[in-house]
Amino acid sequence: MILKNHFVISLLVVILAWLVLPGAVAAQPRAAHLASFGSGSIEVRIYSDYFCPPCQATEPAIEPVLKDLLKRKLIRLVLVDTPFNRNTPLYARYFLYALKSAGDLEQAFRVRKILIEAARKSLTTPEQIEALFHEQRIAYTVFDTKPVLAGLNSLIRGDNINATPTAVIIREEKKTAYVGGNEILKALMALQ
Amino acid sequence: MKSSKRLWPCNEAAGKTATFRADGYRTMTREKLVKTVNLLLPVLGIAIIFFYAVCDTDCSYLKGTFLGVDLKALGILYMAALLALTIPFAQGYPQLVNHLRTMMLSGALGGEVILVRFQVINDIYCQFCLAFGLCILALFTVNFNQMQKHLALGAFLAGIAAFALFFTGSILPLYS
Repeated sequence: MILKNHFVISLLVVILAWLVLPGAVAAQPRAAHLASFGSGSIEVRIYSDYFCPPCQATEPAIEPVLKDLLKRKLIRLVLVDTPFNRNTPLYARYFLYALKSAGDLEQAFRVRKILIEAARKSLTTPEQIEALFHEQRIAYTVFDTKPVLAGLNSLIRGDNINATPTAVIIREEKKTAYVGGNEILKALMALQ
Repeated sequence: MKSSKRLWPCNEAAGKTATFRADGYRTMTREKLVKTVNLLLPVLGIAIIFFYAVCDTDCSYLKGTFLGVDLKALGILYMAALLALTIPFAQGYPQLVNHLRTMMLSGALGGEVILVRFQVINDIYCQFCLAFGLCILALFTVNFNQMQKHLALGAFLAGIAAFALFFTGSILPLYS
């Protein structure tokens, strides 16, 4: 009986040790990206998904603040489409196609607004998005987005993004992440 | 008569047939507590999963599947099954219900070991998943006295093995 008890206790201790000492996690690489604007000393990365309701509400709210920060050359903005939804990669591709054609900030924000509306209407095929772009007179150039998307993957890994919307602000080598619309807005306003 | 299993009928004069043990009131209270917990915690567990699925201020990506089935769906089914064991019809088979509950709670507790480990490894904690795990732990603790210990240990180890083999978790949304 004593032997049996020792066996059970030992078993539970082994399980507990396995739980507490999980081992090392590999370091994440970082890579280059495309959708970046401005040349300020502070880097602001906005991680967002067209299909995530809080992101849909956050993007219009932070747009004027971001524009102001860019106008004053305080920040360098990187827009990172984060594929939480299975249809997001399609939307991210068309966002990049549109940027390839006209890569200015105004166009980027306009395309994002249109894509958010498309997500609300549940448009999920390339034909539907192309029809919408034609209707809204958005020029786009099809190209191989794999290297850019691989760069976005590196950013997502490097910043350990597991929720959207998230803003990562890199200032004087110090990286801080803000999750949720209100937190992001507060953090951006503090930069003004 | 301490902790005797003999039952003492009373209140027959008043037309009631309430029975309680030699240690009377305390036993009744504990049984009531177990019944209440077995009824309320599964409902709480289902509510937790529904809250987790709703994006409020942000949308979390932490996801898991067991044999390809989303853990959220599995969690709801699991708690619904636990809830089903409390319906009056099931009370007609007390031993079967007790064994089923023992296996379900012990197995799930074993599964939780793997799920918590996954969060520790990745240093990403999901408060809803942890709250759900606490519900299982509380249910297990409350029902522990009635459990057949060997069956509980076997189911616990089986739960660990099953989740170690068939659980797949993802924490980062990446382009393929």
